[in-house]
Amino acid sequence: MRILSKSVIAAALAMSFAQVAFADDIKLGMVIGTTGPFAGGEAPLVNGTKMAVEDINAKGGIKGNKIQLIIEDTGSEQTGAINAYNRILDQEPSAIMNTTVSGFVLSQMGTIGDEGIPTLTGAASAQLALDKKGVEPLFRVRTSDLYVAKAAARFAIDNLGGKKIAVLRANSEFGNSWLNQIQSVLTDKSVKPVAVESFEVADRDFTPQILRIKDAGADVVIVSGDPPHFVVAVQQLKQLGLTSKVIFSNAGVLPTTIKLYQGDSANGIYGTVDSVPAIDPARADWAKRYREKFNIDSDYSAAEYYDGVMMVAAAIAKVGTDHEALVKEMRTIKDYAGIGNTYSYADKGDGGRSVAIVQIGDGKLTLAATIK
Amino acid sequence: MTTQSASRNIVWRAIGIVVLLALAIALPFVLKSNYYLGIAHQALIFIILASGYDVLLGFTGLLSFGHIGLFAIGAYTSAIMVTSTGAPFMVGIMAAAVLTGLIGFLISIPALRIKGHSLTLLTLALGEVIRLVIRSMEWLTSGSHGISNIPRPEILGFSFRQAVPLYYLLLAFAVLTILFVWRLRSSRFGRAFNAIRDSEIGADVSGVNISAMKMLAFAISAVLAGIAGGLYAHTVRFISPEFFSLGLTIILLAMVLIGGRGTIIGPVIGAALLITLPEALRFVKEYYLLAFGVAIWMCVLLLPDGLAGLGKRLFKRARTST
Repeated sequence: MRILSKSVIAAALAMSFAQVAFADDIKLGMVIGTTGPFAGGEAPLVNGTKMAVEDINAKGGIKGNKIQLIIEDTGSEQTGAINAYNRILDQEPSAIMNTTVSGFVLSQMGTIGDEGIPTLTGAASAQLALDKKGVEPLFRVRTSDLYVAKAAARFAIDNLGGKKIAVLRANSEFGNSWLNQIQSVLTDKSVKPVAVESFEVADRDFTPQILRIKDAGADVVIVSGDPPHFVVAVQQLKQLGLTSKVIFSNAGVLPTTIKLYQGDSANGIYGTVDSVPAIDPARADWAKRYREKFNIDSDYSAAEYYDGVMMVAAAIAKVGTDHEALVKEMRTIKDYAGIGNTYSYADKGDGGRSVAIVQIGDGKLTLAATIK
Repeated sequence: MTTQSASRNIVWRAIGIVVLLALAIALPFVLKSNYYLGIAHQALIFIILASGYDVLLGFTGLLSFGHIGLFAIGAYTSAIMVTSTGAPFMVGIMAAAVLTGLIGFLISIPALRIKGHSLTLLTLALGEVIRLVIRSMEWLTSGSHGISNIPRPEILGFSFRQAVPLYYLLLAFAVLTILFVWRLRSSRFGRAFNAIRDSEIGADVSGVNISAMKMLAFAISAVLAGIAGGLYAHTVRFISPEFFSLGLTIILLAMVLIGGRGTIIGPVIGAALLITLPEALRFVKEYYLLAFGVAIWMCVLLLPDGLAGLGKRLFKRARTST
């Protein structure tokens, strides 16, 4: 009987210790589209985050506490993104890795500001900057469109020698943000776009827009949109015989998007990226591990979410999991050199600044230019 | 129906209303999380919107696909008033109600001459035009960037920033809307709306002023859409044209049809169901749309009078069996 009661006490103690260990897990939330039209484009972000969590946990966690990743699906919808953020909040995470869809992040902005939980996003809209519509706890793990779209326009004129520039963009916060930045560069260089065309986010046929661009005699076309748009655009640009040089916004050169292009139809198309870890010798080890793990080439967005988790982990190691302290600590980060970018949040820093131009060739990317 | 059974019906209804209201008041004590309260906020806003839409569709028999356009105008009016001029929340809501009411009235003018499918197509185009105009008028609406940092409601210095007070504010608006629609239905206007729905010629020969009544139905419905839009803007704190899409119009239509058109409780049930169902079906992940579609299909197939009709049938059956 005594042996039995000792065993029961021992078991109870063991269970309580196990519970303590579980309770000390650091919860990292992730609000991302795992279903719907943005799921494909956001898949690398989940990969990058998972890889960082596994790397940290493999080294014993943060001061002995493991990171527990909790993922909630936005369903690729605005209301879904608000609800998913609220679901994550209920699980009391230390920090949140958020969606890259700028409109969704804007719709969560009030809650992000109210709750004060460090929230990292790969959304690129210039509107998310702290001096615009951003809030203190929101950190961008990406280069703002303010630089990326301008880099595309500069590359079109300076490197490709474009004289007749056309823009084809999604009629969304993201697409319009690109148009504004491109137009500011063109105005500076006294170039007037020969065509500015738009399409609705739900559109899957750009025939009229492409034909108008063709009629305008554009020599360079800059296209900004989401992965499903690029799959259609690649096919129709070729079918309609457009011979202009083409520059895609970031989502058009993600490995997950390139996989969807048919044959050599995308060969020669340029695209903007923050970085190219898959072909960067300095990131070779990381890129190799990523490829082995997920059976696909890494991209800048996966690397940036990896960096985001690492920055959060470093801040937690320094100040603990108190949200206010974490935000304060994150706001001191300056020139943090990660895998996908170099980040600054101190002095109202807006995340990364690096931009590169790549070119698609037989399903692979080559570096065409690094834009300063 | 005898006087005794009629008074018994009233007692049952009163008990039902008191129970529902008590449940609604007690809800924040059960749903303590921001997530559940957020869903409840959305449901209450859509109860107002669907109840207003039912005045047009259920009471008067006018099918409009432009209602989300009016909802959008309400949201933008209140958001712009409050963020640009610093007007109080209630002024923003009132401005939204007045402007959408006026636009609803103007929409009704061509609707007097057009009927059936043509009216549906006209309102469908109108909804899209409103969305495109909102997107194009960047100087006023910020275009695709949307309007952010819209403050949560504040009335006479009392802030509704937190989820629970906001819930009670939205509940108050929803209850007032339901009471208004209830009174409207039993008024001479409500009877005129129903007469137009059942037989326009019959209503005409009975002396109902068809044009005036249709205009009134459009205007009332639009005012409620404007109020719901204003409340949406101050609840979510961000609005952009993308949200007010045709897809949302279809969901609104489904709320009224599945709930039971022409009834008071129907749009309430429909709105609550269609807001909570997608969240409840989240566990099926990518099969959610399939499950959602099958659920809607079953409802339409098996419940031609909507869920409110089912309740009525069950209630009748229970009474005849006793």
